[in-house]
Amino acid sequence: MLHEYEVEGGMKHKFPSILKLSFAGIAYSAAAETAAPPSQWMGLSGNDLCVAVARTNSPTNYVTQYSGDTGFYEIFKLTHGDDERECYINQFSSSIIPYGIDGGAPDNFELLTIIPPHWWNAVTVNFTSVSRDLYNLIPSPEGFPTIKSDAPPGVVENEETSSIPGLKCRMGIGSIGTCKVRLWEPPDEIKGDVARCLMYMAIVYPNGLRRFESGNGIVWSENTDEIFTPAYSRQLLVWHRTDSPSMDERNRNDVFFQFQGNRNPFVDYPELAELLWGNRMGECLLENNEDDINTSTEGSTPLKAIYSLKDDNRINLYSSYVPEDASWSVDGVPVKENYILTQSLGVGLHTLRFNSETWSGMLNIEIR
Amino acid sequence: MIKIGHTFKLIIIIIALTMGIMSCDKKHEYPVVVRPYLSQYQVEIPLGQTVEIEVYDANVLNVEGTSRYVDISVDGSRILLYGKAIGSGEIVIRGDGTPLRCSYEVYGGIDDKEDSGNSDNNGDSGEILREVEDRTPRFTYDSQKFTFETPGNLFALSKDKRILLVTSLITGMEAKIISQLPLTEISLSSDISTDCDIQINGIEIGIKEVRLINITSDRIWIRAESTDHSILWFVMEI
Repeated sequence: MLHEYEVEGGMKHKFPSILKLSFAGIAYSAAAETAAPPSQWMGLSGNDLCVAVARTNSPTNYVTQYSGDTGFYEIFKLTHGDDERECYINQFSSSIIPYGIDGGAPDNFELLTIIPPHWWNAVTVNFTSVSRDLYNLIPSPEGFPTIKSDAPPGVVENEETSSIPGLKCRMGIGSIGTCKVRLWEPPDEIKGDVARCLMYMAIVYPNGLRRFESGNGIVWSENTDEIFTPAYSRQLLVWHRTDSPSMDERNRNDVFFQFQGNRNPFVDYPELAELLWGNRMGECLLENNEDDINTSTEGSTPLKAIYSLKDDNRINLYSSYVPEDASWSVDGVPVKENYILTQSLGVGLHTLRFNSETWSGMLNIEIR
Repeated sequence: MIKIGHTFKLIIIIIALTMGIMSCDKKHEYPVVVRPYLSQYQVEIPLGQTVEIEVYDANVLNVEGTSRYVDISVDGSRILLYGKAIGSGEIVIRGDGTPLRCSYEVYGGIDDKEDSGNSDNNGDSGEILREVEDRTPRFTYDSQKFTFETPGNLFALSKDKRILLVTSLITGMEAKIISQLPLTEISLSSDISTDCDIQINGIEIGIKEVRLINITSDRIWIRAESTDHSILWFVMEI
């Protein structure tokens, strides 16, 4: 039995009914929790806000066992189990990751640390904590973590050939700002998840981070107040905005909260990323303006480069780079609404032009 | 009295000697012949730019022949050479009938010229011509290229034409050129590095030189060289 939750734009997200049954109570408590951001964040901005977020959203407990009811194998069945409750959902390749027999170790299973522990100094507490933090872990097929290795997430331009059959993500060289480095590019559907994981990890585990030696030197800023390099925070924000928190991801927040005692704040409050690195960087969170941070970007994804005729119902004609008063045309035809349906354009390359009182511009998008 | 007499004699002798020398000079004096001459006999002309040569001591100026590489015009005592195509040759200017030869070379741009010598730009002298031939709106920075044809590369120009923005909706990369003058009103090939800033991902990069290389009714080509010798191109519809 599946429960489907429809969101704006007609997209449906599914998760197994067992979650609904087991965590109904949690879902309500989570909903209440996301209604208002913690009072400790109010009036803060920049580094002070980071510190406050770390205080309210750090783990209170770490999972240490693989087996047993509270071990990794069982927890990830709740968040990454397939509909038939027989396999973990493999987000990285076409191979199957079946559950282990009688709660034992599954075959073809390796927990991927999105940010490798050795990005932190081995002598620090964080070195061990980050490899146990549920928000930093995803079930992956055996061998994938070795292939990913130290590569930070990013957009790959020159893809490597892989030994893993049916690999869904890309490995190879890509650009972060003006640097070309080896990167791994997650599948589109989890790019936002990965971005929010990095944001969370950066806020919760700032101490002991090997800023210059890790992430090929392009992830972390020399200026500790900035956290990420400007180029890298832009990359993360693009993924965060275009792949906003899904029901599955919100559900993971609920489940992990039960085992680890904390939530990823960038899932509950997507606007927090804008306050720290994005359009509202430096702004304070004001008590009388709480609704500001509760804005969910779900269903209002800004303009992006590539759309899927199957998954993307519409193209929202707005972007942080375009004035709000802009008028748009698509393939030379003026558009009256602030969106256009992908079905009405069809597969192919389409030229969008905008014109406002202060700016004019253009871009191509592709519908696949 | 004796001392004064010696001094007086000495002065008389010096005066006599001086007069003698001057009279000798007058005997060897010859009439001055004024010949026209040029301010420079070799010029290098950036493509699309004009170089002036001053002609001194000539009342009448004529230019012999024509050139496929330069347009030649006379303005008072100046010869104006406009570089219209890449190439080299020699012009003959007649100043009051006296032939004065000046060799010229038209090149693609300042860095193109440097390339032909000891350049640190890998000697790619055709770079500018190749870029100008390509009309695709784009931003390039060394080996990175963001073209309009690639989905998600957004090109924007402020209405006052002083800010040009290129951003990738895939990577978040943002390049911006901010000019004090409208980009369309900059003199062709003149260096505007002191009048503009270039930012990549919000960080200002050190600029050695910025030039408007080409402008048509619907396009501009801007070339910049950073202080670390990276080459940047902004090509945009206007």
